[in-house]
Amino acid sequence: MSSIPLSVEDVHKQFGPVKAVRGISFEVKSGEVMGIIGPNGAGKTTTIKMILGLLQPDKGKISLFGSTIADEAVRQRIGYMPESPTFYNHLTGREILTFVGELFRLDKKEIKKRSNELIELVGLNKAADRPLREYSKGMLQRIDLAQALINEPDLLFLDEPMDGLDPIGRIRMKEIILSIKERGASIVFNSHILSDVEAISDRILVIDQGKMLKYGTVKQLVPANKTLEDVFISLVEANDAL
Amino acid sequence: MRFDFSPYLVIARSTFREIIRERLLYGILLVATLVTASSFFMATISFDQSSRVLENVGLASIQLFTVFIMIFVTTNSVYKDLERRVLYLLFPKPISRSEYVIGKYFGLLMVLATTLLILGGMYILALIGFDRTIITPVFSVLCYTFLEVGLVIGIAQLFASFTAPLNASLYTIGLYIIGHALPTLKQFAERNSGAATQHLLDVCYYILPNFEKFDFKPAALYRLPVPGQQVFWAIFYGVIYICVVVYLTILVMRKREV
Repeated sequence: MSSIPLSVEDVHKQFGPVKAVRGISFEVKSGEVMGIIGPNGAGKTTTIKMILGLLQPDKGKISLFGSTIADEAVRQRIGYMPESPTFYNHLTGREILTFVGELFRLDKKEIKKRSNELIELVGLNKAADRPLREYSKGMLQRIDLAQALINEPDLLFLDEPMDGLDPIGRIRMKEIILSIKERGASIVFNSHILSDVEAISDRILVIDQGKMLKYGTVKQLVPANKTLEDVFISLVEANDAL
Repeated sequence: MRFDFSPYLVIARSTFREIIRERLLYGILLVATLVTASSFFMATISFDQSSRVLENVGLASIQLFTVFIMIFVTTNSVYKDLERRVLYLLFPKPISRSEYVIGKYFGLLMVLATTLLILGGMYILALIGFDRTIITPVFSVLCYTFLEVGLVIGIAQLFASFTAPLNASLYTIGLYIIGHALPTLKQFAERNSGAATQHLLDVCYYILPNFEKFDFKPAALYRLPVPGQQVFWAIFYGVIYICVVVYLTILVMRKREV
């Protein structure tokens, strides 16, 4: 398998008359964190869903570890934390982790060990044996992250990971993302919180109305005297004016 | 290469657990139990054929409630997976869409077995104190009911994979009613209709599910022997039809974007 975890080439997606994604291309290298930013409806989630095979691109090529998402061996190496997660609500947090671990065909001992570590990591020790229907939004967000990490993925997708978290939760989430990066995994995430994206990303992709506005390292994108927020606003406003 | 059952089992187990913990299911089961229990009351006030009344009303209510409970449970469970985006959690994982559909179907069969065990089990237990001679025929009817409702679940799962739960339930109920009326309709058409209508009904007869093939209740009630060959063909027909319906659901799910 190729050493490049993710390569997206000229991907397009249309829903009826709406062109949701128009020719997006980027690459994610090993151990790299890539942040995708854009206004609501820019095509961030659609892009991630196409990469994961939840949607089929109309045009373009997506390669994961030199193969495609249809390859089970590729999916074995991927973690995904969807936005606003919905689980089997009558299962407990621990049961969901066991369920996901079993989908990855991990053995029972490994699942138990990993579940305990992840419950500890996301700070759900007291709630682990409660059914998910009793969880708050922030708690669901945390169990969502835990399930995405159960297989120790080489490539992790996080869709709005900071959404619904309190400030302490956000700090914790950033620490966790950086610790996953330290392990050598690649991470693709999208967020509206630009300061967080700037703080933890190696590369940033800016999209608006399905179009790729800018793609590069934080240094390439953000001049020394500006913030990512300044750059983002000027790019989106310029695109809207077209 | 060794066949790996584990993805099917994982999906089946979680489907079963999720449904069995729904409080609503217990409410429906309670009503079903009460209606079935009323057959004992009817039997005691009937003139002389108390056992027959008990069998007829008791079994009919078990069958009917099981069909409706399972249609409701199936369409709602598939709807939750599709509309509440549980599939976002499942499909990026290393399981195929066919493993998901088949696993889900097995999970629903586990719920069916539990429902029949509760309703049928209580009924049989009550029969012990009433008339032990009808226990064996009742048990065999419950086995055929399992096969019949197994097919109903497959059809409900197929409809629920591409339409809203209410529509899926109505289509399944419609097909269930037509499936029971098929032999009668065919006979009626043979006697009273023109060649075109007869031809159309012939096509429907062979394409639509014929639920009458699983109806051994009259034979059981009147203690008539059922030829082994007839039982074999009923089981064969049911299993083949279930395989076709589940395969169609897999095709729908493979095409579906989530």
